Amino acid sequence: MIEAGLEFEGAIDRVVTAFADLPEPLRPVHFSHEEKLASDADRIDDQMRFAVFVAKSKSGFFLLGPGVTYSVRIATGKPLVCDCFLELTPEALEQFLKHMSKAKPVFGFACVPGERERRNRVTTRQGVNVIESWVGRDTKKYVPGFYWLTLLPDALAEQHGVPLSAVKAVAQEHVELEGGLHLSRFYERPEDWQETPAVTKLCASLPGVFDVEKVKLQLSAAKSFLDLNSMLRKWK
Amino acid sequence: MATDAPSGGKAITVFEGEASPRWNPVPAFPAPLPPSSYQNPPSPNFLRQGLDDVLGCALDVGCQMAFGDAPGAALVAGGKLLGSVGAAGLGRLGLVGAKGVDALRSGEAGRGVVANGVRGRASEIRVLNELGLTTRNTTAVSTAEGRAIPDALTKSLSLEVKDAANVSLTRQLRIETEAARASGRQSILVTGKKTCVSGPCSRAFDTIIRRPDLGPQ
Repeated sequence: MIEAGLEFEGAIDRVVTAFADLPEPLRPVHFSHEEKLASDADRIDDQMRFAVFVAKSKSGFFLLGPGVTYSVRIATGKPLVCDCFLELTPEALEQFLKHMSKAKPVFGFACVPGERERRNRVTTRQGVNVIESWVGRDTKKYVPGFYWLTLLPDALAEQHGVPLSAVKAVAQEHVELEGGLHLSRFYERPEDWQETPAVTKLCASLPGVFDVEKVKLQLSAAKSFLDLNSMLRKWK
Repeated sequence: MATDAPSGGKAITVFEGEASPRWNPVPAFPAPLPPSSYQNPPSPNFLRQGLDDVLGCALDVGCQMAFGDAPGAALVAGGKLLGSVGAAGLGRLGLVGAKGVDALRSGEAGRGVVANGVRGRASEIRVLNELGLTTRNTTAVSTAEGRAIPDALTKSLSLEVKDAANVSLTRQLRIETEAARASGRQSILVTGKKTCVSGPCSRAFDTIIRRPDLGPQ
């Protein structure tokens, strides 16, 4: 399984249209409020039904299809986030990000869950509690990281002072897409991430890019859960 | 979601979309539950608190029952039957019908759900205390889609305890996590060491706390 993440500012319609227009096998077939399908009648090609569903689903929803689960999350005043889980080939994922770039994401990536956790998840222990937290996902604060496939717009790179030349120098492949978007592939296969320390070094070397190691050092000083929580909140 | 009902008591809004064709209004249960409804009868005060707690965690209880697809799981508060959870499907609640009335009158459904609810709430309070959270939350959070009541809510966090084998991103959890995101709070899920948390759910919560005393043993 490969996961992909996309973040958008603004209109939900643009994002929904991009999902609905995906080519097979990426295209979702059904919509739902739950991870599992509630009714076979909830089909995206039933445009009227789908439009009504999207209009009332103001906190988000799922778009589902064979081998694909797209979780769309909506919070007032925050970017729209899509957590995507695909049981498809790496080639299909590249196609997915290229297609979704038409909806003008703020940031996007695709990788195996292990790489995502390596870049943006910290685990701490307090007594019997094992505390797993996402960190560095806020694109307002930093570029969240570089992953097997990374979709980086000019605007975000500029906002955080990330030189594209440094990114291109490490990437195996780099494609410029419409709208000032850059799609970089850092290694051949998504599972190769553990054998490629160059990307981890790239994240650590650029100040505008989130580096999980800096957080780990700080968190070790937390004396209680509430103490830890306030630290984690700063590193969202 | 608990709201004020026309009867002056509380009602639980647990369905989404159109009402089930099997839906029937539930009359107020005329008498307090018989003592045989509880596996281990607690003291009257604790019992009263426990019944209120069942209302408070009705959604959780319902989810567990719905996982089993077991019609007749009763939702009870203040000694009155509010409704029952029917075979509404995985993670979805909403069938409030006559089966629940019959089931509760026989004492079977009420016994299980009250015992589960009281036990669940007790473990929840213990977990909150251990995390330094002393007050049980009664304040709802809301998004444009609806309202939900997290188990703990402070200025900096919104926390939900799920003592279950599986946790997925239900509408209730989506409202809680997105309300937390909008308000800048950390969204936290407390669950079992062996609990299977789905991918979408684990991405929606900022933090997941895993404990050996919750979830499958």
